[in-house]
Amino acid sequence: MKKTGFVAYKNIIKRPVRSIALMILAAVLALSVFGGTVIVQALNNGFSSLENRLGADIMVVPYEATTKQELENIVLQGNTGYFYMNGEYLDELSELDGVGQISPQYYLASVKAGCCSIPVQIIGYDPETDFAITPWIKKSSSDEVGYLDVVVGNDLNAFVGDELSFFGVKVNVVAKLDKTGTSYDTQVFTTRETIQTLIEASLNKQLNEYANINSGNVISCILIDVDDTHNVDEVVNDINIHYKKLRAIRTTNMISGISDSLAAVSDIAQIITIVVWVVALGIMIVAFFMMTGERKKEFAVLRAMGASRAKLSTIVLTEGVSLSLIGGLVGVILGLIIIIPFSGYIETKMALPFLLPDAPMIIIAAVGAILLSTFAGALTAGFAAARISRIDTGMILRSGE
Amino acid sequence: MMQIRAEQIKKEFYRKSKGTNIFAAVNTCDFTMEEGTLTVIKGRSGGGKSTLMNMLSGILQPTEGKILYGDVDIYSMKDKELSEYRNRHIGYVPQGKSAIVSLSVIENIMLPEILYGESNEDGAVELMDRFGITHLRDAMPEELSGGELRRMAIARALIRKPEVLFADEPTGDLDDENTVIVFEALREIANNGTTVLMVTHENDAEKYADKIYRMDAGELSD
Repeated sequence: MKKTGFVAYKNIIKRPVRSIALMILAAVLALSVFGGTVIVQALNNGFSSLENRLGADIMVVPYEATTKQELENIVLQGNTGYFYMNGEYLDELSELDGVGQISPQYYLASVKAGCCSIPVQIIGYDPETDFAITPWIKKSSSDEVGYLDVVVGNDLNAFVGDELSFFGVKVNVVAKLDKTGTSYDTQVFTTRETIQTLIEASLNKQLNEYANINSGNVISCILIDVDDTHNVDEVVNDINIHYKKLRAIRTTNMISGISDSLAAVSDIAQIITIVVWVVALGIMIVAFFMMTGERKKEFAVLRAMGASRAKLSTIVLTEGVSLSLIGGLVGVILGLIIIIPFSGYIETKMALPFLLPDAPMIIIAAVGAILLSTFAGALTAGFAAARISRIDTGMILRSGE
Repeated sequence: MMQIRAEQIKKEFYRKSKGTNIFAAVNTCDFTMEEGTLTVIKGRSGGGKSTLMNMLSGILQPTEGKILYGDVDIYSMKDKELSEYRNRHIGYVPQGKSAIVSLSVIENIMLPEILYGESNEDGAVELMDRFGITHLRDAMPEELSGGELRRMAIARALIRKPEVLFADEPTGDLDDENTVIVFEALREIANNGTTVLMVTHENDAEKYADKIYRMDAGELSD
């Protein structure tokens, strides 16, 4: 049975230009909220993921690694690179006060891998002492990573069961990691024994800048977790004062630049969202007010037919809510179409860790954006409805406008 | 038998642009309509005819006085109640074009029912037959001539089978042929028991009327 809403529905259908314009405005509102929320959330997730992946309070590297900025390029930007120091430093540092867990890492950059079109960064870890990479690998695979086994990052074009070749050594892919939104997605991980074999192979093929090193006794980086009784800065200072050829870096300092960039992006996203909302809401209010002016006679006729002030308001509100609800849906769908398929591109362009929220979070953001744009439509239509409910039917009909 | 009675009604408007702030559109008057009669109020434009009719039809509250439908003082009702009363008991043909442009002819005619969640398509078809616009059932208002639009407006005013019908300048922009059609239709409606009040400046309306009033400068006279 047709009811008051029927009048609103027919008006939406028969005034397509106005209806589409209002829907577009609502879509822009929803898109700005949904897109902004998902992007900022993805950046936050990426940052958290990066913090977790670093997994240590302190990273100790050869001094030259920091002067050439290789460390940050490898850890944060996903570039390839490697540097080495004597493995004996590991034993020495493990004796220092305040050092809780300690574990080495080994870096190697492949020249060309079967799995990748670009050179890939290989990171080795010691399964017996590692506390940074192993927990993360165990999330993706419960299998042990054996000799000549590798685990690949999520973005690499290699899958479990594939065989890859690095410097003529064939290795097996035994696990593919979950997406992290960080540089780790494009890296390959393996155990100490395997990477030592790979380093030796790179030296034999004269594809390693360090020609005169003992592959069995070099490490690239030492990860340290400070025990609860000591301050991280104390341990950092201790190492930097006593080991001139090394550089201890507090990991939180290393990612402070990213944190600053993230805050800036969040601020910009918020400002853009606010500007979009102010402009779009303003246009919607003007559009609804113009609509009420144009349709004064129509509303007066409806009053003469017995429509109460509440019914007139219902018609206007139904139009506003329906259009903004549909517009909100369109905006969210557009957001999904733009953000999800192009998240890799966004990540590259922003040069920041980017990890899309999981499905429930995206659904919450979508529903929230639709509800907000619908509320905005209801609010602007509400102003118009309040104006209409005050129309002087007698005056309008008397003047024959 | 429902008599419609106006007791000592008066309508004043606040007018900022003129010298005197208060303008009396209708001076204090009494007015009565008996059931099944066609009453015509004539007069020059701006004389207060439409204002009087709007007060009588429940869409313009008088500054003073009462409008009684039988024993019911319609302006003592709240907006929701009065609106529903208008919908059920009063038909109204506004002056000028009054079609809802987004609705087809049949939807326009059924609109008073649709507003209250009811639907009497057979009744609408019957009215279209009666006013010779059956072939325009699904046409949109912009496709109709002035005479067709006016007949549609009358059909719409009758869909609820009202006890009273108000028509404001129902032949205002019509040619002679359509004017006669509309006058004859209103006469027939009155003959069928509906109380009809027509406001017009057409002299020809007199021959269809049971009672004629004149309204000039807010003064009502026989």
